[in-house]
Amino acid sequence: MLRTSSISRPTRLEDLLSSKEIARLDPLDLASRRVFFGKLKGERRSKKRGHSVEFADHRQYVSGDDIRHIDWNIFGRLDKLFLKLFLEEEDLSLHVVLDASASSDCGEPNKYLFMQRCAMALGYVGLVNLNRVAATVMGGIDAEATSRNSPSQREGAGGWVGSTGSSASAPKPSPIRAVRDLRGRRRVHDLARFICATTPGGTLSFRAAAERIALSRRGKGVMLIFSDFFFKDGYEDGLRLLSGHGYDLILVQVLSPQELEPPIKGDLRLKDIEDADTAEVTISAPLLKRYQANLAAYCNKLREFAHRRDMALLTVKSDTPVDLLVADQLRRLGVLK
Amino acid sequence: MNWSSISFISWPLALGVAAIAVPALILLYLLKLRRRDMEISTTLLWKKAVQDLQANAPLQRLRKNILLLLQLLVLAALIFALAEPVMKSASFTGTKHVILIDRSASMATLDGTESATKPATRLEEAKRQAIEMIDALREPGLLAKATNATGDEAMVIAFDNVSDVRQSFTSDKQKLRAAVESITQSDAPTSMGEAMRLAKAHAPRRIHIENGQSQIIEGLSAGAPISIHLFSDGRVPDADAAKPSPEDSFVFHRIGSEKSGNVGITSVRAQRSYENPNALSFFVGLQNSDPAERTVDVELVVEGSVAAIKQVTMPGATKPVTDGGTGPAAPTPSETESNTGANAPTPSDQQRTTPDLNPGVGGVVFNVEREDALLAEIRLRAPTGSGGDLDRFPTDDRVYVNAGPAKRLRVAIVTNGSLFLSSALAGLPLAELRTIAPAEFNTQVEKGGLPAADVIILDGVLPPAGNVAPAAGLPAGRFLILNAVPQPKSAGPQSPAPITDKGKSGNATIVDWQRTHPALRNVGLDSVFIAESRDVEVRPGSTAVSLARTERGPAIVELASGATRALIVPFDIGATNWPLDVSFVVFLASAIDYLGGESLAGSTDTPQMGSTISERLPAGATDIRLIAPGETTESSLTPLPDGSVVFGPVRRAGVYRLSWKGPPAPGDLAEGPRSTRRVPANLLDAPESVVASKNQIALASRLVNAAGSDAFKGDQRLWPWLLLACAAMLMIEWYVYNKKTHL
Repeated sequence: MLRTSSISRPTRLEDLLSSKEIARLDPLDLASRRVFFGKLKGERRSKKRGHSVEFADHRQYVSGDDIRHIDWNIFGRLDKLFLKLFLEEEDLSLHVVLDASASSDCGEPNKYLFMQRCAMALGYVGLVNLNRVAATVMGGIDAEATSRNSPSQREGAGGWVGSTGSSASAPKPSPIRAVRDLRGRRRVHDLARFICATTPGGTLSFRAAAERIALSRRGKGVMLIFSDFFFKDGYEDGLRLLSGHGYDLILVQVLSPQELEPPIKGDLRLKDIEDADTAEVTISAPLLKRYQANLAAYCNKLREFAHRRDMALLTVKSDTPVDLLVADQLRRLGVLK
Repeated sequence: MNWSSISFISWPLALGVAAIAVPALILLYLLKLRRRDMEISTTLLWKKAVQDLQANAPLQRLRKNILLLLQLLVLAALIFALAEPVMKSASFTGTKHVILIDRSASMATLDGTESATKPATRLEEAKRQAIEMIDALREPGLLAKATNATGDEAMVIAFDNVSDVRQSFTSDKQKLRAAVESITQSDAPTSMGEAMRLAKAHAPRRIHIENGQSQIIEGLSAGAPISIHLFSDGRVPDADAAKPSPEDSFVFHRIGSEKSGNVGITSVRAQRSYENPNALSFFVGLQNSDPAERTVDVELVVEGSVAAIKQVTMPGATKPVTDGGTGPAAPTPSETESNTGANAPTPSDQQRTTPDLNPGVGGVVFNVEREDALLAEIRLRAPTGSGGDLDRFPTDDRVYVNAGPAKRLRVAIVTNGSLFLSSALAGLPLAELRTIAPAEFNTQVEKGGLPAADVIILDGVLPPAGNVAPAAGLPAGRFLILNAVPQPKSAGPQSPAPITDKGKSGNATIVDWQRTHPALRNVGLDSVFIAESRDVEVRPGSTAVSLARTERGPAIVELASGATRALIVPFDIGATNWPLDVSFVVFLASAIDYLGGESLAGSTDTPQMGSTISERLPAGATDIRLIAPGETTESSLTPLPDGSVVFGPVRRAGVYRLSWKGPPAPGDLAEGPRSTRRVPANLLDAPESVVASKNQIALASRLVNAAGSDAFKGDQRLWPWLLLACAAMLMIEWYVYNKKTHL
């Protein structure tokens, strides 16, 4: 709830995940409640009949079929043309979206740090299992924008995409920054670097950010959105844009313990960290009750919205252990197996 | 708590503050508070929560705000405190108080408090109670000047047989306390009349205006009624003369114990035997006001060493015989005032004052053989072996008395033969009576000498004018001059002669004389007829003083100049009926005693307490100083033209020491160039020696009972309690503020 008093920003993978946590993540793999067609051959069995070595079925030859797939053994025995069908093994696309607006940079423990660690844990699982991993940061300040002289905005695999002009000399908030098409264990450090590169801050128009993500996305897969979903202009439009385009959408609402149980008292002028909007309150028991009721209603509304749109919603406190979230709660949701 | 007994001193101030502060506080609550800034992730939910609350109940905030409620309570308490509420107690009426504090001798009794280990005198207790009362007076409010409101005012009068106003009406408690503190013990008897007159004099007179003419009504005072507080043991002999105004209240604060008995010396006299002047007798009168029989040791101490001890047993004090209405004339209580708060007189109030016990009396006589003058001390002691104190009133347990030397006067008469004189003087106890012919006298004077005599009576003779002091017209000595007027030469045109002889004139009678003069004491001159008087002119302010006068002018003149002192009777006593009157012999004896006896130190009459003492010092006494008993500092005295010094009024019993540079008179002590005379002053007042305090005091118009011990709680000031409540509420508020989120 309150701005985190002092925080050490992660810079490396080791800052995000300890080796113990990594060890716990190793046996996991991504799953999807829906099965999507992959782009590359992966380790994932696809619904598509493909060219892998695993046999799936036979079917009668119809004209136009590739004669290379005719099972000549059966033709020899039955004198009929059958095609031999194999299971296709594909990769799965994992898209992690982080909300780096200033409101994420709050709470004890810091909500954004928690999001970073979760994203890293999921990204690690995805990369290790040869899935395509993409990460997007909405809002925030690119801490390395000033240090990078020539923008290394390479299109393609592992490239960083800055959406706000390339020659930004001063750190300034951008709607989104993304890294795409990471694959394989050796990109783990690239992902970590990307995740650590952004410092939360500034305001965020969720709708605009969602629009950009929707426009720039490729392929299908699992998309996890980490945010507190406290958007003044509403989360509905943004989520609507993201849903229904072949993504299995999972919303992770991260709340700090202080947001659930505000530890404040007295006569206060509460100042919104993002837009400097103020609310003058005299903290009293009824007011606190009312706040908590409002918070619960807000979360319920979000959950209802998510269910209607076939999204999954997970509300977590920022003090939840990352491995517990990943290995237990997300597994129960079917994101991991 | 009786709410009707609460009044407010500064209610306009409080009202004004309330009118401003209460709306201001509520306004401040409705307006912005000073809020702490705090950054939070989003105000989304808070705004909604606040809106919800406000939408639900517009006055919710005000109603549920316990902080505002507490602050309003604090404010209310402060405003009430500002109004200076006081709770009246029944005993205080009026706003003007006169505090009369008895400082008489009996107030020195050591029974002011019951504590046996640390006895306090009644005066100390009276002062303590008076200060307690002063502390309880209502003070003027904060806006006293603006609203013209005054607090209680008080006046402090200390009295014994004289009264003085220690502090006139003021509401300044500091001054009042200082005035009370400054009262010191006196050994004088009690008389309240003057104090009451003083108290009444300070109340404004009631003025009656009719037809534009204003008239002061005697005995009635204007303004608020005053209440008179008497702090005394009730032993006020003239209380029945005090007449407070009917509307004034009179409160008697009794000090001391009713049961205090006392043994004291009420009279003493030293007298030499007529036949044998060396035999000196001390007559001591004793009094016992204790109901029990008392035995005391009476010690005679002569010049510091015990000369004799005698044991005396005195009967206890007895109840006076009352036979119906012929008892002691107690005043009829026309109005009985009870100070316990009840207005209706109770049967006990209707009782008459209980008459005093008749003290048992006793006496003792000491006989010693002493020739020279001495100062004797007579003191009472508890009987040897009984231990303990004699009584609690030490002042009358010790008296001092002077005894003159066993000396008789030598008198020389210079006369051509006077039957009246010689026969009158023959009867006086004189050491020597010599008759000298005028011629022989003149020869002696011309030789520069005088006959060896203490007093020389010049009967129609004057010393030759050759070698006499120009101022007196007489040589240095003591003279009683009959039928002649000395002619002092005038020292110059600036200072004409003090006495001028105008020659003989017609008959006259003596119309006025100084009855208090030692030479004229007990002398009645009203029957004296002078056939041939002599006109004498006495210059006022000179060394001559007229002691008696006829309708024509001075008849007896005293002339004192340096070493010369003379009493002059200018007319011829042979031409009057005076020698046939007993007053002539008395005058002669007194005059000789006065002229010669003045050389004898210290008269046997001890001065009364509270009066002034006049002592005649030997000629040539300079640098006269006085040490009062119990004091170490000397005060300087200036002699009067006739050579006497006057000091006083004496307030303390004991020995006053007069010292001067010059020769001592017989009986005085000589220490180098200085001489010392000891003048004893004793209480010797039988009524004052009865120290049992009285429970009632009978004024002329009413009978006043002693006030209860809680009589002057005064007005209870409530503002400290309100401030306390204020502080408590502030603490609660603090607690609530800190714990508010959990409420």
